[in-house]
Amino acid sequence: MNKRRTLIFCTLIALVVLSACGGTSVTETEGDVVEPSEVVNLRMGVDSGMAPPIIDVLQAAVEEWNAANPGIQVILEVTPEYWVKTPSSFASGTAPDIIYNTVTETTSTFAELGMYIDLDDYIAGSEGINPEDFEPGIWSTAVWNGGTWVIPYAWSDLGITYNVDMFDAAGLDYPEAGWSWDDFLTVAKALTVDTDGDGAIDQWGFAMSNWPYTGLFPFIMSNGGEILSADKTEVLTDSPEGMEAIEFYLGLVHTEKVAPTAVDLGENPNPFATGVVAMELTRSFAPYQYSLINPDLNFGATSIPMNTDRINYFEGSGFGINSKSEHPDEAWQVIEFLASPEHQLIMAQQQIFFPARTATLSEVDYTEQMQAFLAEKEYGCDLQVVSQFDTLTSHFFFYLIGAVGGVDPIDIPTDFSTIVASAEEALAAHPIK
Amino acid sequence: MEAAISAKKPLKKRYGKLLASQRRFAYLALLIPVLVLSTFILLPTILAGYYSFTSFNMVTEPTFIGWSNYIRLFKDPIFIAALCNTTIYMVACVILQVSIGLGLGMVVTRTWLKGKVLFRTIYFLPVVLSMVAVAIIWQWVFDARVGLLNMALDVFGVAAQPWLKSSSQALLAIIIISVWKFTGYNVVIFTAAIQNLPIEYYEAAAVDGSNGWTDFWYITLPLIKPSILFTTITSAIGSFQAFDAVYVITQGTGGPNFSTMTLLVYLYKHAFDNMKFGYGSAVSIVMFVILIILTLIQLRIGESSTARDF
Amino acid sequence: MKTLTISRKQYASSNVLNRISSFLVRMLVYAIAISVTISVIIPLLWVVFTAFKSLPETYVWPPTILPEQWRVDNIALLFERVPQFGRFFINSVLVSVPLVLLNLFFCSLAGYVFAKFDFPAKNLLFILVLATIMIPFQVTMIPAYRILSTLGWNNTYMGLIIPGMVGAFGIFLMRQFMTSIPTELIEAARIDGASEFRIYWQIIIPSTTPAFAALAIFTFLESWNSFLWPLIVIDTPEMRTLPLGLALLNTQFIAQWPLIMIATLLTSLPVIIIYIIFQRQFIHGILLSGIKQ
Repeated sequence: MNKRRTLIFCTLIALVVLSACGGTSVTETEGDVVEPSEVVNLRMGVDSGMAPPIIDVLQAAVEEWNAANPGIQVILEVTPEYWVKTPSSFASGTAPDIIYNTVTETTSTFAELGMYIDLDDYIAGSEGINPEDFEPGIWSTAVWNGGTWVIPYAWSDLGITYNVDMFDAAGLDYPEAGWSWDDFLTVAKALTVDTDGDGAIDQWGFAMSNWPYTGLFPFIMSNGGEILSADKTEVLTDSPEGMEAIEFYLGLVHTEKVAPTAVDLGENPNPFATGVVAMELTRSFAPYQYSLINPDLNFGATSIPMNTDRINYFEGSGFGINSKSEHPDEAWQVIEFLASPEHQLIMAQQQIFFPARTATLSEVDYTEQMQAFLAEKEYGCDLQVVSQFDTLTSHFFFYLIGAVGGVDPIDIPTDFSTIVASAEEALAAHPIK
Repeated sequence: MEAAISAKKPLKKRYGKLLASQRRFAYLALLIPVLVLSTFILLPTILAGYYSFTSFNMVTEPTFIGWSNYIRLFKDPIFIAALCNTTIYMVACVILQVSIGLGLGMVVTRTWLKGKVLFRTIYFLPVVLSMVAVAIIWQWVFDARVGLLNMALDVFGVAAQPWLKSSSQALLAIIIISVWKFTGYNVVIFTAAIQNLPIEYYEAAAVDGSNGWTDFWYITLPLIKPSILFTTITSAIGSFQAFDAVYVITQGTGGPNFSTMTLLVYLYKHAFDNMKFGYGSAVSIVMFVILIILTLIQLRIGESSTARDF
Repeated sequence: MKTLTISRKQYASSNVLNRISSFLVRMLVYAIAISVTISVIIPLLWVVFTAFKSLPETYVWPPTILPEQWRVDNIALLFERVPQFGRFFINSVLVSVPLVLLNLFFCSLAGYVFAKFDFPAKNLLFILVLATIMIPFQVTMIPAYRILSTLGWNNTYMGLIIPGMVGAFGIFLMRQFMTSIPTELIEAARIDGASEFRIYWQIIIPSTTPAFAALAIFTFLESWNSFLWPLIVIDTPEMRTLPLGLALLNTQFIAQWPLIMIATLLTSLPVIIIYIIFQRQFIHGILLSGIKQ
């Protein structure tokens, strides 16, 4: 009896000690590398939500770099909930040296928290990195409040994808770039049909999106409306053009019923790829997502329908240097490598994201659909990116989650005046630079 | 065992030594518990009060802003929505969990019922499951297209309901999930309480011509008031702090149009998603105060009603 | 007296009408009991069925009940798509087991001391412990997280174990139980020259087995199913505990029901098995902790 209890007690101690020691997270691997202090160990953090092939490309790039540079070793860290965990790990001093970012919204968020080093000096002293070599639409989003915080890496833009088979079955011509809202609505209606003759509609023309940038905002802008005033204090979506666009967009599911409701959809990973809808407004990396769900999908791509303006919108990614990093110069070298023509080409050939380096674009043999997306970059405009999700976008996003479901009735004028009011209040509390 | 202490030492000194070693042992034993509880519960409580008056994002030091957080809180329509939702949720959960729990407790304690243990085992099963697992299971049961519930409704010719996709039904769905998960706990409490009731009361009542209903209303119910109070308070406190199911099902957004936003989800969103730890602390203090008031009210009602019967 | 010994049953069945109505009542009661049982079992059964279907099968209309083909390879598919799933399980174990053991040890020690000892500041310390029960988790979670990051414990097992390693609830439970241990037993051991720790180890612990069982079950369940605190503390996928891993899966593999259901099944199975084996202890534990008002 005595022995047994003592044994249990010792096991208890052992377990506690073991788990305490075994509990160091991946980030504390410094102790593993037993090498002289000349070797610099860098950590590069990326979002686990990135497309796996791009993560693979980055991993291969890291390995290539490590082989060629024994003095600077890089570890790639793929982190879920990256957007929440990176600032908090920065606060406790454990953020990676090289920090990935999307060159919209969140770059300025991180920069405002002081997480990044201003790269202007590095750029001035660098031969390989010249702002003119990069897509201007993307480079401009890396610059904020007088500094350059990340070096752009990849980008995507918006377009409409359409299901070729469904168009053929309905005897419709494929949409052409620069088409109008009227064309769009006509086609959407013609494609909302009951395909198996059981009396219930099972195919719809269009899929709604609750993300403002892939639904509401493009429609507002293509009607000549604006989101934010130039001084970034007023929300302008309640202009006549804006309201008209909002009525049109939300009307697609509520009145015209060319889009499936949340009840029609259930939980569906992608209504377009699963053949439930004929069109969707999406980003240029959608073809990659489709290939994961339905590789045989026969689809095309074209521009966003316009009413008065033809518009598009850039989103992209880049890499910056942790302001608390002990090796910023070495980190800069790695970033230069990622933005180099050689590596940009390797990444671009995945045909998921477009390379930030403009010259690389002509070196890749793009598919028809990617070309259609690429053609639209001329019309890229600044959808007035804001520095924090919760000052502007979130107000629309949370409303849209319910509204695009088409289940609960909506009152657009009232609902949107509330949204505008709360967004402006948030903007007043936290002004955007 | 050590050899007996020799009786050579004077009694008083030996006693004093024993006392000292006892005290030493007591303090040693309490050292770690007090340290842990102070560091991770008492100290944070004080800090929470402090943070609630600051703006704090954990990257820079907290800056004092007085009552701003509290003012902003009460002006935020989403906070008010969270307050309303949590209240509705709590009231519904308490009423359902206690009454169904009591009903099932009565069912399971019928002396003639076969399979008591089996029933009780099954009723309690959801309690041991992780709320995350339960939420995921029910998210799918409530699925508008292929979910079990809509399928069952279809058999009766009722149209498919949007459930978690509709702002008028989503909260109801969460309530159903919570009732399914936690009622079993109350069943166990009530079963034990009812089984412990002395049979003499019932026999005496039988002589006077009672039936099942009067037995229940005049004997059982008053006697298990302490259990009713206990389950009411625990159900209330538990549902007041609802988080897991809503977070998992709505990805932390609080359901269609904030219809499932509860106070704790609201707190988490502002503190950990938006990095507003000062504001979050203010929300937590408000929740704390509400909880104290609630519990006090329940205790007061419980006391007075128990006092009345005796 | 004779009248008092007439049982309810005898009184009721002396009347034919009463007989019929009591029969109906019994049927009603059984109906209620069974239908509630069904409402508990069916979702769980459905999980099992869905877990072994193929993905298109979960979307077909009208829906099938049993899988056409029991795709046991869905389990392999899960580990292929989510290689860290086993890791989630290990993490949960590495957190829950020490938590339970530490709680058992420190709560019983503290409970014993509060129950059987007298020392200066005893009441003060007891009030301190009492106070911590009143404080809900949402108040402490933000500053506790702050303290944790300052100590460098975020994303570690320490961060998950240490803050909960002693619970005031456990101390109360133990103290409650231990007050009923005869003090003479302890005094006798002291006079025999046993050290205080030995008394604790060899007398107190064996006398408190029901309370130990209850606390062990409670602590284990709470920590195994814990979601919010690990959500706050854990940053990387390798450190996630099972509930966290499951939630992650639910978002990553949205609408892939077989995969999600397999994961849910595997997550719940250990707890269900433990529950079925130890259910009597579970129930006793609940009652022990709840009943003393």
